[in-house]
Amino acid sequence: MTPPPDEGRLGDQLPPRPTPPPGGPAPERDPHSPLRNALPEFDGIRELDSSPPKVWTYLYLLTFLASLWLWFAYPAWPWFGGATRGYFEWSSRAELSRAVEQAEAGAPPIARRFAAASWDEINADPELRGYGAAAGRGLFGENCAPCHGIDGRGNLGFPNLTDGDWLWGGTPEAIEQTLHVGIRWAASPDTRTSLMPGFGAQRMLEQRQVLDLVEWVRAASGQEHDAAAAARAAPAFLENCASCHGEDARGNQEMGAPNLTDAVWLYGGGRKEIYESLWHGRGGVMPAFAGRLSEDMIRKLVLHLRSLGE
Amino acid sequence: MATDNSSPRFARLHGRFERRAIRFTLAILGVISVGGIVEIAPLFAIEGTVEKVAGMRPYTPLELVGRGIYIREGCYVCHSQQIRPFRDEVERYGPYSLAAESMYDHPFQWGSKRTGPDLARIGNKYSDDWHVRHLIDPRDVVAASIMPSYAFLASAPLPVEQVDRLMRAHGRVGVPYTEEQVANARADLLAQADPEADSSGLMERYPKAQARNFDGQPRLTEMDALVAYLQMLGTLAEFDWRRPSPEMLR
Amino acid sequence: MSGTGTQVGAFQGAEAPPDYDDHVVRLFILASVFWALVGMAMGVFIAAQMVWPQLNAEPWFTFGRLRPVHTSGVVFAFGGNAVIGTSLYCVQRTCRARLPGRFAAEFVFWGYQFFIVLAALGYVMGVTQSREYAEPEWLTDLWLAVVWLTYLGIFVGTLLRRREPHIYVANWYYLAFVVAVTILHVVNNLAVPLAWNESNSVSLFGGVQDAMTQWWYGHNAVGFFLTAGFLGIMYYYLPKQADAPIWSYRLSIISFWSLVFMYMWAGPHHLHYTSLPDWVQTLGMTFTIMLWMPSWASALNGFMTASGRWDRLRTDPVLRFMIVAVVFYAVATFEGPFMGVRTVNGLSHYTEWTISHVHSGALGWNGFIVFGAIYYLVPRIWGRPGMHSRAAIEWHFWLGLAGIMLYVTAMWGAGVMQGLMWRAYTSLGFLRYSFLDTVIAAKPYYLMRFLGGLLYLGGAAVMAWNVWRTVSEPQPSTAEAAAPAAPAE
Repeated sequence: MTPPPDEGRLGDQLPPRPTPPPGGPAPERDPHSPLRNALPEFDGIRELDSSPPKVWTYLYLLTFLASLWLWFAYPAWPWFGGATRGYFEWSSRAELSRAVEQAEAGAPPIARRFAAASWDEINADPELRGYGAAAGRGLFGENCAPCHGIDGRGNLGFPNLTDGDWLWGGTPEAIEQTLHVGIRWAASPDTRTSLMPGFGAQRMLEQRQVLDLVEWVRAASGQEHDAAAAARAAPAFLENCASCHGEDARGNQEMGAPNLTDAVWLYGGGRKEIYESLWHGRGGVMPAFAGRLSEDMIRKLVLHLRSLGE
Repeated sequence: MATDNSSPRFARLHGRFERRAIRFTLAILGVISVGGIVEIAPLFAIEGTVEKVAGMRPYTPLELVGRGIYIREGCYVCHSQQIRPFRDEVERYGPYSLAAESMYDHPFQWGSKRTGPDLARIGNKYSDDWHVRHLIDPRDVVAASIMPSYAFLASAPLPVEQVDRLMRAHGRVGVPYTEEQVANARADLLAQADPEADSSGLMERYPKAQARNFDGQPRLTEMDALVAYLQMLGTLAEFDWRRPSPEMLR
Repeated sequence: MSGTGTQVGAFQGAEAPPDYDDHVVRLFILASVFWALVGMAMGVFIAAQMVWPQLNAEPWFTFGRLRPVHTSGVVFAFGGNAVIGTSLYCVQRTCRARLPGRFAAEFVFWGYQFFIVLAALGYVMGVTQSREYAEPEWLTDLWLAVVWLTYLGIFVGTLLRRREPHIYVANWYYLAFVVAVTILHVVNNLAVPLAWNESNSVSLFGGVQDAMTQWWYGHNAVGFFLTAGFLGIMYYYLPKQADAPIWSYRLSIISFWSLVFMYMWAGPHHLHYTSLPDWVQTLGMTFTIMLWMPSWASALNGFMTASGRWDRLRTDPVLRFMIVAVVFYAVATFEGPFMGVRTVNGLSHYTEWTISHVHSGALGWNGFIVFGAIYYLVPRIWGRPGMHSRAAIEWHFWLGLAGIMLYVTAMWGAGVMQGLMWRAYTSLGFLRYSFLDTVIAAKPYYLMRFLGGLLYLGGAAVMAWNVWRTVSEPQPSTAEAAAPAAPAE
């Protein structure tokens, strides 16, 4: 392990260390070491004492200066029951208020026009409608897409928002109201409440009647069905279902009762699914967004939702 | 003596330490202690580190057990519970998080990574049904999701007994549970997950608690507890970030 | 059991070198190689889970439960065994003293392995404190404390028995590592168990104070476990392999005390813009910035120590491992202070950029310096003329380097993209992307990362094979064993 000659090494130019005779005593000091043999050799490792490069020293000092500046300018040190506030009296939370004010001040004119417009004005102005729909896209992705899908096409139990078929009404005002109060959202006093009862589970109908009604619904929606059973169910439909779904089964948006004559199924149009709906009832839940989202955001969402069906 | 008077001064100085193992160890100990003491101790001492904010209360027994499941499953690995004061974050997730909102969190669940979205205000954002279906199979409701499925929660019965110890341990580390709350822990837990039960006592002891059958099944499962916890997140504190109190700007 | 490693090292003095305890070093090195495979394979597996979520097998093998198995597996099991093993080899030789106690070192070894197994089984079963890099529950923590104090005892004990007037710089770092980890471990794991017979506990601190304590710990797990401990490796094994003197003693002193003092302040940069008060964040940021130059001082010392040996980089893959490790150390310790700046952190926090940063340090610096040290140690402690296959070392090096490059660039790209997408506004002033958009956008990067990890794991597997062949080869004659593994020339 004798080190080779230290030719060409950067730093201190050292002549080779004299090799002591094996087994002989260690030299007391190494005349060549810049540390004047300050350190012994450790398991054959020697240590030189090169000076740090100036650039390194200056950069190190610079980081201290930068820190001093930051301590002076920003809240930094705990101090008698509080902390230094810093020259700028900066606060990350105050910074947000500033950023929001700035964004609001710098918003394009259409943003202010939109904020001040009534629904009638918005409906009459394609530019405002386009603005709102575009603005609602990100909000939709964040707040609605998890249930209704990123494309708005819905999921089992979560309505498709692109088909133009609205359970609780598709006017801007109606959609806005739904977003505000939610559907069967207990915490919201004005929430949309009516629901499909479990006619079988709650013993309002017998199983035989429910099975017949399944055929009746399939007939109404133009699917393959047992005509005799459907005919038998007609009175039961009028008695139990028509009050919400209408005598013509075309639904009622006041009560969120779906149209049974179209091809749109929230829970499926197969026999099993319709039976499930009739027997156990249905009552999907949507949270109320008033409070979570601002009025302005909700209106943008409404326009985005309406644009999905176009 | 390896260092002597002819050695450079710093080497002589340093030699006083590096030739004494115990002294060197103690020197390290002293030097490393400073930073932690200066940064951590004042957080307990400075009033206003935890803002005073209306609406905060300790977790209900069911929420507390649900939180335990959140911890057990390592949800914090991919989800933060900490909204930063950025324009995009308050717009995306809601008002920025206050220290007060996690003051009963032992341990805290701020997280460090958002593989999934922040959950600090996930409470009441989606329906229970969505949460249950999402936890059972995330891709059933969010096709592009890369979250693991947790279907077993829906069939794992919730052991009710553990809540006593859990609440007492929280009491010992400073969560202000009252005698009454601890005594009623099991009853409150059952009442919160049962829509038929009388939940008036629960509501009195834990304002803003939400009581219902969270997982939609008759049995009390871990799913009930986890969804109850998620549906509470961010729903307690009452403050307006647009009009911050001076205490909030610290 | 011991004594085969005594031949290494130059002549030291009149007295014969003591009979070093290398048996326990061999155990630690074997364990390190074994856990490297386990920990890295776990990393590759959870990387695959992020590409194919169907790989999550609930309840035991979900990402949430396996991630700590990966992090503890590579940091504490692979890295920890390597640091403890290399430190016990180094401290004996640089002190010219044998480890004290007949069984203490072996107790540390088996105790530490028991801790690892206990912790990993706990994670899989859902027993966790949810404190990142300190997930094990209170019983496991108590056990580790006992093991660790024993380690502290034998390390300081060796220092006290030394037959050198001074303590060598590598041992300063090892000592700082052992001492600081003791403090960090104890303070961060203060908790009240639910009951003496329950595995779970409730942490003593809560909310903001708890967050600060945890990241004081978390950052110094990096600072003292992954930095100080591994600088200890560098300060002994790099000059040994390069066969060159340490470049600057005074730089060692400055950087050592700066590092030890300042690292402890840097934790709050993990909590920028959170509900931690702004003043603590500023303090953390400034000390993070001031850490830059002390870190580079260590890197500089490493480079300059090897500076007379650049020609060997072509021919000596072991030295190349070490030098590239120092390069990654320098890169990561520049990126770190940069990311610690509050405004930069606003972009990088919560994103894959952090993952990229951690892995450039962990794969590049920690991994490569340990690989170098293992290749240095294995022939010496088993008394072999050299590693079984030099070509395999080359393969390991290039597989590893390619893996790091792929991994780090993929996660850096993904991270910056996520950060920018989250805050992107359209010209009309509304959010351009939903969170889900960013999940979808990150998917190709996750695949790239998986491949990068696979390459790195492949390299480690080649090493394991090479170590196994070297160790299991028939023992050469003592005369051969006496010759240290010649650096390839």
